[in-house]
Amino acid sequence: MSDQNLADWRKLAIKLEAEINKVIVGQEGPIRLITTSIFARGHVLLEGDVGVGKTTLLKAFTRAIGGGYQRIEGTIDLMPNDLIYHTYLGEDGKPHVSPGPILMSGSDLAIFFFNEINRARPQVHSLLLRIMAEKTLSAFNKEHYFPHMVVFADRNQVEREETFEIPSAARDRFMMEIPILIPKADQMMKDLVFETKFHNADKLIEDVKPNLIKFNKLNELSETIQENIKATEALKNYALRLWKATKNPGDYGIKLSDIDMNRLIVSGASPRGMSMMMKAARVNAWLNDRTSVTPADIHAVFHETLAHRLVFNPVYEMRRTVIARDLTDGILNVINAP
Amino acid sequence: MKFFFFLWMLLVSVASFALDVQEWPDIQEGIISIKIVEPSQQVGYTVGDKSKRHIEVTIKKPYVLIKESLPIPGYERKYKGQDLGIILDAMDQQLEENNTSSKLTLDLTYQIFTNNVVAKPGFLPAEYIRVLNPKDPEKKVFKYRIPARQIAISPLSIFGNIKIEEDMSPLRGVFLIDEVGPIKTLKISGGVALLCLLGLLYIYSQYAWLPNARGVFARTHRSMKKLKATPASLQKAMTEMHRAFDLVTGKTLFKDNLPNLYSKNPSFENIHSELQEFFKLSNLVFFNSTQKKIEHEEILIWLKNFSKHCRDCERKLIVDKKSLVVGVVK
Repeated sequence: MSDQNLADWRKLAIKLEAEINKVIVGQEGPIRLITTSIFARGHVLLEGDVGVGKTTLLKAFTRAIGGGYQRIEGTIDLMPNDLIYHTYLGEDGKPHVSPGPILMSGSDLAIFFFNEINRARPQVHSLLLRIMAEKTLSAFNKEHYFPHMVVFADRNQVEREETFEIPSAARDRFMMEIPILIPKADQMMKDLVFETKFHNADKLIEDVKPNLIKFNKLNELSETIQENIKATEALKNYALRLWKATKNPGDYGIKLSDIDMNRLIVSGASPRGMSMMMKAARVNAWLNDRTSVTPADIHAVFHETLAHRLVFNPVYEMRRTVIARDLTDGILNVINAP
Repeated sequence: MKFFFFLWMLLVSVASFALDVQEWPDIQEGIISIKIVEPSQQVGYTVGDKSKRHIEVTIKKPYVLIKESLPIPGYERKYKGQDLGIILDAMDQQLEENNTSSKLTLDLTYQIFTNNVVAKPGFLPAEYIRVLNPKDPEKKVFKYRIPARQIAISPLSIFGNIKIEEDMSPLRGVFLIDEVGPIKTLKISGGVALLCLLGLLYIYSQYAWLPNARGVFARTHRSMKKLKATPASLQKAMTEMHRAFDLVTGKTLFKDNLPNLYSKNPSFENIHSELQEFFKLSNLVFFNSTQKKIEHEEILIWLKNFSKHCRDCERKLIVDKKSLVVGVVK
């Protein structure tokens, strides 16, 4: 794929963002991050309250990139096979088996949304994580491939009862954790409540231009982006210092109020986490029409790609959201580049 | 002959100590004239006080002053067989001669050594000087009396109830404290205060600055001025500028958190366009992987100028926007 093609694809990516921003108001930041993850081919954890438009957002993206969209709700009695098939008695009185959400779209599955993933049992997590990593599934004596699938999972952070927290190894498979918050501007809040077009999500996303980007071209495009967007030695050194700081923030002079920095971190960012961060940073550079990654590109994705991977001492785990934000901000503020 | 004359003069003057002043006749009128500046205070003296008389005596020629007749400091006078209690404490004298006369100037300082439980009269005693005519074959000596000065000596404390409004004697001068010292202190303090005021104006006025050589950007600018246009120097200069910004903001400064810098020092808002250019340059120097040709000399010159602008901002000076240069990054 030539530079000219990359430039054309970039125009399409910007157009994609504009289309989504047309129907989802006040979410420019998350939309940029989701765009980044789609072009970096990374799975995403979504964080946010109920009813903020996560499903609508994902449906809008699916409409713009084409391909299949499937969704499943996490419940305590959900079993792994519920992802793959479900059985029922047909009108003919015989048992029938139909594909579950994972198999429903076949290899054209582009976006799979797992709502409230932490309500599902660890067995379900296990299957999903395997599909995320390998993008294949053996079922009905057949190997199923999902080469274009990107998983979006939502965690219910408010209700903790009857939930199964995703272990750190599982969280590490997600490229980003993106917070989806209610817009703060009064006018936007009014629009969301009083503008009738926002009341019917299915009709709303019809405003998005369909199949703007071919979902089955994204893997190749992603590889091209990663190959073409370079990182200098100075940038690599900067990323290395950031990585080390996630392991021992106290050694780099990072201080947080009421936190014992020597006890805070159990495990810093993983090599997979850092490589995913750089993948996302490269896509961000490409979206900003740069041929090289700059510190600004790392900053744009640093918190979202690393915060959910850090393993805190259990004493601080309950305050994860606040501490993780302060820690990543502190690291960026202290580590200098160049 | 001269020898005998001086011998005679010596004998006469030595003998005169033993003689009463009454033994010499008064000089005839018109030969000697006198001018006295008396002390302003006439009453209210008490033990330890000093009083000064300024006396100018003009003696017409051919009469000359017999210097040995001048009053002797420390010599206590008597009055009616009693010690007067007022002594001549110090004397300054000057004798000027011309063709027609000689002028003797005396500054006599008397000190009071007497007191009483009630006010009593006293006087600064009369002094006698003697003159003679050297051309007179008899060498006759004449005396001239410098008149006494009447004063009143007050007790150290007043007995009985005194209404101050009834004790407002015009003869007694106002009791003044010595104002010379305080006035001197006041003048020095005023001078210091004026200098401080000028200093403060110098510091705080909008267009003034102190040569704050220890400022972060002042040091950075000085070190950058020495750099030569090489790739290594350029990277060093960029790094030093980054360090300076980090020190000023207390955190790592990037293009997207420039408001942190403005909140620390709003003067930097005046060079916003150059700051944007600096971060573009930084990306070009450190993070650009393409083989884009970098004009080291041009960029280093720009950096030196930029560091000067930063130094001015650090000193809260307003940088002329016409002097800002952008567009170095092609």
